[in-house]
Amino acid sequence: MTRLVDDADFVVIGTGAGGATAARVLSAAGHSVIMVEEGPSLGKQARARGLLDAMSQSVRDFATVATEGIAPIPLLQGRCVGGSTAINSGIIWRTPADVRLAWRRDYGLDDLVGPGLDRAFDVIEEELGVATVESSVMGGNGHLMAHAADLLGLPGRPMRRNVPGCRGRARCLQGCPEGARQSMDVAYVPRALESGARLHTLCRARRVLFRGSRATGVEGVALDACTRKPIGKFRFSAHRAVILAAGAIHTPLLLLQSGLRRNVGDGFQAHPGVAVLGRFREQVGMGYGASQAYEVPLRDRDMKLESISLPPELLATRIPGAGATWQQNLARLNHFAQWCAIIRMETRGRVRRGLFGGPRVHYRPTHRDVERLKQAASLLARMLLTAGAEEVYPGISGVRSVMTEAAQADEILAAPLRQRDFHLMASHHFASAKASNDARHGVVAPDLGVHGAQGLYVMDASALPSNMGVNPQHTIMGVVMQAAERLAS
Amino acid sequence: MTRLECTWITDIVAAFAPPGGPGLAPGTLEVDYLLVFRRVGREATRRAAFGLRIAVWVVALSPILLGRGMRTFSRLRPCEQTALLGQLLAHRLFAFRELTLLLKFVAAIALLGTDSVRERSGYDLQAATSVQTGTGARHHLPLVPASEPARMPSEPPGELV
Repeated sequence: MTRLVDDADFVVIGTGAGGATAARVLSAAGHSVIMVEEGPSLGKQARARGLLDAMSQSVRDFATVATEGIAPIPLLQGRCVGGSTAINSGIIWRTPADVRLAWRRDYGLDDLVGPGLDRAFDVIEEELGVATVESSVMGGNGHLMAHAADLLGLPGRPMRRNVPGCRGRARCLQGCPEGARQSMDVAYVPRALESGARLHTLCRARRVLFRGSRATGVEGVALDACTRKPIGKFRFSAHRAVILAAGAIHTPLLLLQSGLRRNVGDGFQAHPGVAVLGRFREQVGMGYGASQAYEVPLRDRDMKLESISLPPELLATRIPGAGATWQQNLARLNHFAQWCAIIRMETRGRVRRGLFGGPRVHYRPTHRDVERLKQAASLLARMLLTAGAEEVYPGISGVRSVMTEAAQADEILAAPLRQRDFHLMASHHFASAKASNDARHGVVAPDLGVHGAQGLYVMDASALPSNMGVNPQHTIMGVVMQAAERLAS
Repeated sequence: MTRLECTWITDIVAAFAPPGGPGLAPGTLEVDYLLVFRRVGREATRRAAFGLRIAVWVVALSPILLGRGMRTFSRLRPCEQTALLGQLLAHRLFAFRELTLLLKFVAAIALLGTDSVRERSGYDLQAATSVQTGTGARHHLPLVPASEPARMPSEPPGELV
């Protein structure tokens, strides 16, 4: 069994939005940095078109990590260099003002979400080429949603994304074949490497090492590239600090495995999403256009509606039925549009260590959360039918499986639905190692250092105190950029 | 997996889109459902892989569980198999419909992950044309006139989808 040993000023676990930003800032400041990534490094040529290969390469456990309970919610997480930024649609949202106010008021994060955050956003947007989706790559799916929003008077707009030069391949989940999306594997990890950082891929961190209360390094196992079975061990020493950025599910797991307990994993939040399909007489052509192009933010209703062009395999799964009916629809995949809603759920769950060492995520939507789901699904169905869909498939048990008139969308509101009647997916995860100036209520301090430990930081969505109702990548990067700059100096 | 389970998997997953059916139909043995099932099981968490296996047993024994005689799924006629899958997908019991949906997910991945079937679906044809020609810039409603329905690449001229 091989044994890998290395040392640097900083050891960063994870190469997603948080880890890559921290590594980029620290290495640019002249510090030696080791980046540790459990997944592989995938060049744009290596990214597969087919869902099976693509998800095997870059999605953790084929998106089968799910919440506990009778109706599990799959938790989508990237596992490759770039983390979840390598599988998302590159949607960029500055932290909303009401969220910043709440974090300052309730958690004392004045420095992190003060004016410095806007400066960090300016830098990131410049470096990642953030721009509004151009009409030429909106695609039929995005254009149709814009049309529906116009007809219903909803406040929609083309998204802002970090995809300069997008050619509308609609393959964000599988990996941009053009390399246009400025995910962390394209943007900040290469910058960190240019500044002298070192990257160890296929290394799964097991626990943080301590001398007294000071973090001194990380140990774990090296994985085989094909089987992902352990083939060796590693031990990376940190002269100054260990930075955990493994995401809001695995960062708390690492903390728990390292003997840290207080508040760890408590307060987990997410943005579960629900999608509705519509079939049009004309071709929509979801295979062309930005994977996500248009959005209708409804913050007062705790939801955001988005156009979403997923791979045809996932689209096919959502089309109801089996046999002839299903096959006839499969021959008309180009006639489908798919829109989703991400819900800012109020419920808080917890992350714990499972029997075999993996995460156990307890998360149960409240009654109000389910009501929001109903409202979102009903509105999506109404929008699709208003835009001219011949048939709408809400994909909700307990209501009709095919809707053909806008009034039928109200049935979703009236039906006595439960969470298990929806098919949900949660791709934004938060708050499992919350930042707070009060050690009784948080895991990390406002500088993102772990309360009660020295030289140990959490720099990912775990540290964000709550969900936000908008896509979190930009907030993670902005918050981490500031914290890393302070750490570097 | 046992040989019996492998037989059940092939029978069940293939029954979602039987060969010779209307629309997008695979040829006999064109799609390797068992291979895809195994790969999905290997990539999934232990719990999900276990769920997949349970799904096979539940659907295989569903004629018995639903009181339709002492027959397994494989013993049903093809049209009965497909009809049963449709009923299970819409079943009021969460376990029935969700476990069946897991197998439908495998069927969809296998079908559209097979290059020849995916090509016949025509899904990528318009996309490739749009990317090459930049016609996306001129996409405004209606996107394609209703009088010009899409034509499958492999279909003979004159026969519409």
